[in-house]
Amino acid sequence: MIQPQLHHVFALAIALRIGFFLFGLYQDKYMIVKYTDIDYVVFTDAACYVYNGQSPYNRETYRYTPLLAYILTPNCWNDQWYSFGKFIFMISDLITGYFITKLIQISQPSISNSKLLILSSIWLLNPMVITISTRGSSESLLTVIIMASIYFLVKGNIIISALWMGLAIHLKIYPIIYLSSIAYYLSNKANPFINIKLLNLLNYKNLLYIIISLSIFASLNLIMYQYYDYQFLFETYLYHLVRLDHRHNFSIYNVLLYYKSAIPLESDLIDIERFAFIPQLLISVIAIPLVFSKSDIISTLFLQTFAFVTFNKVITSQYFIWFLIFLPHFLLKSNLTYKNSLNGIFLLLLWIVSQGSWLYFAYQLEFLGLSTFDTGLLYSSIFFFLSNCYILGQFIVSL
Amino acid sequence: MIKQRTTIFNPNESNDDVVSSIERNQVVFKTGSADNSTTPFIVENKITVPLDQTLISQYNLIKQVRIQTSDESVTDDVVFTYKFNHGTNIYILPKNVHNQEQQAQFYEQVNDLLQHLLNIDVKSENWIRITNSLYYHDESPRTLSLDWFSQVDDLVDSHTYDIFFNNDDSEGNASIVLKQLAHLPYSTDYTIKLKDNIRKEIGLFIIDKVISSPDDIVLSGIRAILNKEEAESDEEYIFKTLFHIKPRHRIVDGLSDSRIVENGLHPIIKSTFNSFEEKQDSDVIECKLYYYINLNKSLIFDKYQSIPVGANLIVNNGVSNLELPEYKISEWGNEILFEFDNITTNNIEFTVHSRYQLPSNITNSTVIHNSLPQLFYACNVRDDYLLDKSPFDTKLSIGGNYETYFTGDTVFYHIDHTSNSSIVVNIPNANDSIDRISTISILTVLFGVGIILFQLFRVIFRAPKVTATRKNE
Repeated sequence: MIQPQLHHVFALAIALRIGFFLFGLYQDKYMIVKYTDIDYVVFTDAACYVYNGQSPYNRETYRYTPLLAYILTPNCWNDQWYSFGKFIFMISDLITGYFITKLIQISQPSISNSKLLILSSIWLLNPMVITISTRGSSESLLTVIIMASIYFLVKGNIIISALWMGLAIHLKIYPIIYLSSIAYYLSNKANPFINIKLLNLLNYKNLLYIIISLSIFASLNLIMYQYYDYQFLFETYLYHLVRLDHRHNFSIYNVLLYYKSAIPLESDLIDIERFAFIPQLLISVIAIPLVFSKSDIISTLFLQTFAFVTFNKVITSQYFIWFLIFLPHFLLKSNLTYKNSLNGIFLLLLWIVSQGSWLYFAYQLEFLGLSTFDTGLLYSSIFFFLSNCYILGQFIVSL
Repeated sequence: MIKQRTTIFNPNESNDDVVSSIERNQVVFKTGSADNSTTPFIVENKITVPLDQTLISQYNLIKQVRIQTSDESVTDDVVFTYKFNHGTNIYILPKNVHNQEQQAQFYEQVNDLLQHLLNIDVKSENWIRITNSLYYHDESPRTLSLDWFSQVDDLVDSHTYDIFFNNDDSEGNASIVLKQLAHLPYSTDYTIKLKDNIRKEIGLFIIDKVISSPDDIVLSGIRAILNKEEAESDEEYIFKTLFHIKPRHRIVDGLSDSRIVENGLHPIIKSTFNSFEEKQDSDVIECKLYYYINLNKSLIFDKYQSIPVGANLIVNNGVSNLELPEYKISEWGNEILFEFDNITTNNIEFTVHSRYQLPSNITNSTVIHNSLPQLFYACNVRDDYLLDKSPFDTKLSIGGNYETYFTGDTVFYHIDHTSNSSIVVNIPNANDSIDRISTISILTVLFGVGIILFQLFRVIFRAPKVTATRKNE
């Protein structure tokens, strides 16, 4: 009998992506509910504006860097090229899988073949991952850049890593939270400039990393600002701070923000939008990096991202991809996979059930038109939030 | 001098016995039989009042205002055909507005005018910009204040009217023109009397069916002029009249039915119409099917996703934001016009998306009434110069909903709606107090933070793992 090898997993991963993609073409053509994500339509419209010499922000709801629209301009060449972006996303998704596998091998060179196959399959054969990229969501473009950055970081090439990280932050602002972990991780990789408590955390490696990544981020922003002015800044970054279109999503803040958006600005109620960042950043940018980043950078990134998403004001399913890229590595290091596997299974079920309960009430609202805001959606988002907090707590003690 | 033109259209076969008396100082009509065996008469009053200097200067930044309101209560009308949208449609055009201060004054003047006429408060941000004016639409018809027409005794109670306030005094014809349309009640005497300072022209017509066709309606009947000055000069005041009109708006035999297909927060607006042969009157050159709708701001129209199969989006004026809740949108909504090159089905449907509504303590859903769409064929015709010669033509420089987007040589074939058509959308909203939601949410966040910090502290303070070597030692 043939022993499955890593290349078999990759072959299957490619075949699955092609299969999902082809099914998507069929569904788009013959079924009422389309397979292609609405975001892909938005990207493509924006890319066509760029292709015709206009601003991608002419397309309402385009809230990304113009770079993405530039990358996807072949979508507009003709009908045959419409799926060009999906191919880019699928390839990015596969390369992300490649980096995940390499990082597992680097972390544990003696890993057994079966363990490697199982862990890499969490990404490569994950139907959620495959669906997201084949439907045309751009998350995999971000994940491949982040994983490239982490790969080079772990390999010790901090300049290349910082370049990728700067690009990742430009594409979507949230990877900026990784800088604290990476800086702390690099704090014992070189001699400090000054030997004074706290200041001795600073050395040329982490300083260089931060300077390079932020310079790339700033340079790209400056270039985009030159072309698209304030609209670029607003649509790409600022909008996410001031948005009032809190349509239902998994976030614990969702129902509250809906109520909050409906009251006058001068009301003396607590400004929850402003304070929501405090627990989010306290846990994901300070506490978790301080505890874990020196011992295990990739697991730290996983915990950070999981916490960041849990406390975010907006959570959609695509955000789960943000931490899923680090999950295989985390499971490699955590006792939840083998020693404490029952707890691991319980946590997985808890995550699925709590998410499912929210989806049930969201379905009632979205497709049946029932008002589930005040009970179903509120309590299921509390259930999902507290489940995530509990799961995160278990993740923390499992390392 | 005020001018009044009262046109009574008798849709029955004969004008016999309709005129009870006709004299220099009054005309009396008997408008139908008590046993309801006759079709109700339709009357159109057109009142032209010259604007005095006070009004001209009071509204010096307003060039034109047109208000068209319809409750669709007048049926079986092939002569006057007020085919504008159900509800209130207001068009405004400024003049001499060159800076923001004047712009603010202009909106103040408009609001003042509308308060006076309709008792309606329209803020500057409620208007949408369309091709040649600013436009406001409300699904509800409004009662018109008749202050400015108080001298006219013959107005009827009607929610179907068309006002054109024209303050463009460059040609010295600044005036306000009111046209109103109503059915006349059965078996009552409709009396129009001579009055000082008003020149009244009264007509009673039937369609001469023998020589009429849909593109050339021949009206025959009598006209009478009630005017004190003309009466004193002993001029003729009764005229037998026959004239031709080439109607711009015509009605086809089929009916359409529009309703909402419920689909949660993504309702589908569906219009079904009877199969019918495209109208081929002798003057028609070329036709296309169109669909016009004014969409309430609670419904999101996505120009990238919501276009019906086979349609081209010709007009989409108004709200472009695809995400904000209803209470963050200032404009009244969207004006949309689709064109169909080749339609192969009898259905037109497209999905819209419901905006979030204000939370309410009373109800958990908000009911949105949207005006019905207009479904029509627009056709180029021969002898188009005759269209605006009709005394009942509705096309003006502004207003007319879809009319604005078509050239003067266009004729519209309307597919009327069935009586039970309606576009009513129920949108779920939150139904609790923010204090309760806020308390629960914040306590939950604090509890969640506690869970995570507790586990982090457990890790920080837990005993370091004992290595195998140390264990042996």
